[in-house]
Amino acid sequence: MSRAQADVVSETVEAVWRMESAKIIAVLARTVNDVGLAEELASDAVVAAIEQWPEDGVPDRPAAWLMVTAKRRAVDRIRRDQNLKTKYARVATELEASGQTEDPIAHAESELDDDIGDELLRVIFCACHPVLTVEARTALTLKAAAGLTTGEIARAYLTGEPTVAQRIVRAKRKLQKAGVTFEAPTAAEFGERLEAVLEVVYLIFNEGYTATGGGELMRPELCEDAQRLAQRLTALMPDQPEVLGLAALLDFQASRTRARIDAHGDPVPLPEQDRTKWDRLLIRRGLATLHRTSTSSEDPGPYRLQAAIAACHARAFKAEETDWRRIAGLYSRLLSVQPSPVVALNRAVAFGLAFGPQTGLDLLDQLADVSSLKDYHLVPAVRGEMLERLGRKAAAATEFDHAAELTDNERERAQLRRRAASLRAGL
Amino acid sequence: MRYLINVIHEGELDESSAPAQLFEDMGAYVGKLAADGVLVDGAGLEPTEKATRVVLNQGDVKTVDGPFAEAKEWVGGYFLVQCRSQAEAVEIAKGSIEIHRKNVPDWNVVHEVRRIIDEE
Repeated sequence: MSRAQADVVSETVEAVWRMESAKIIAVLARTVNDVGLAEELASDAVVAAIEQWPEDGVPDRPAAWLMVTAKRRAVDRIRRDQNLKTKYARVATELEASGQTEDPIAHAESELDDDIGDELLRVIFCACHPVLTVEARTALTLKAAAGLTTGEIARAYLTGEPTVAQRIVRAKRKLQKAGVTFEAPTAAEFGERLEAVLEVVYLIFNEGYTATGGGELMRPELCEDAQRLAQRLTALMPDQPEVLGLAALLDFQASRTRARIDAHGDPVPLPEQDRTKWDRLLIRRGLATLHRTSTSSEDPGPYRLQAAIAACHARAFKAEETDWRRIAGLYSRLLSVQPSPVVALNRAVAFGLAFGPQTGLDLLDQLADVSSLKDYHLVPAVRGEMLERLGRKAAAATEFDHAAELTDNERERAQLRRRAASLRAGL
Repeated sequence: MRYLINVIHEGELDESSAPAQLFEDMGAYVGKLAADGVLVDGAGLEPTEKATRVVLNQGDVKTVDGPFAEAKEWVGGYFLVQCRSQAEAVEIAKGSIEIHRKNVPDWNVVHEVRRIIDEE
């Protein structure tokens, strides 16, 4: 096989892994009752595929092939390893039996076709288990539930492959130590556990959206991975409004990808974005997803409220058409379920735009003592804008200068200084 | 990355002769793609008898209503998927082709996988 053909095969292995690994891991985990081991067995099978497919060609049913291979590896490992032998005596017999059915591939295929939604969910809940650090949860979720390879995770987080591999090994060990096997959260802990799952997906998206490290401003693949995870979650938990809310929110945010950074690589604020560049397909999917929450009698949670706010922006073809009254109301509700200074600040902005700058200023005054906002440049910047709209130019200029002192961003500072100067010139 | 998968049919085809199972299986497949989080959009298209072509030819503009006698290939539908690689989009296309092979083995069907150009 030529080099080019080998590349095609390894791409196919990766593609099949991405599409099918979560299911393969879920089915294996059901058998061995252990997510960590299931993930290892599935990874073993991928290694085997990388070795064999270039020789033998890509099998007709690649996912079923991986599954059968994973099971054979499992039997081998259990035979070899005395510890595993004791632990998995029963499982080994079962695995061996399933490998000896008339057509193991067909058997594996029917297993993969079964409704394994429950098992898939358990994999995700285990990967986001509270005994793990958020970092570990993220890595394990991307590996076991999103189908990323260790190398892809390393590249996405700008770290080395061994570091990620280590992180995943340690995470699995920790799960084992804590006695977390392959269980679903109890009804009592469900809410909290779901929150942890949604947080991980949201963090993955944000890492891609704001790309904290490295040269580029965004890593769109990671955003897409998070969106995909969120979509998968909506299919697995179609009745959870917060799951739908998160999926919609990510679609709305991702829809602005092409408009939120200008030709110089600088961020463009929402009101100034070229809305023709917003991705209407994602907006449509987001609106449809959010609409599915409309029959819920539950009080909306933070993701659903943020999605509803994002939907108001998405619906406005021009910035002037934004329904600020509705947004102001949504921010009030968001503040009550998720009290944070930044939400309070955004709420003040929304009220200022909906009901006039004086209302906004009054709300800003209430935030004067919030310590985490003390050095936050957006507070004086927002105040400056409202004062300007009230015609209080001198006061507005002072605020813009203050904001310029506080910001770390050179371009933003220059912009704020210019605004202050032009206000003074007009006095 | 985004890919447009054009479902292209060759030759004359009486779609009404297709077994209901084909549409059922395709519906289930589209549902599966959505549940897997890769589907952004997708639809079937009305037959070309109902289509109209607006044509620019050597500076002349004319409008031609279907059916188009000379057309050997025609697009019957499309998927728009968001996934990590072309290899993955190809696997998605294979899944749909497999459904056609099972249900309408005498049809000639092509799935063309095209990457959508991103601005930048």
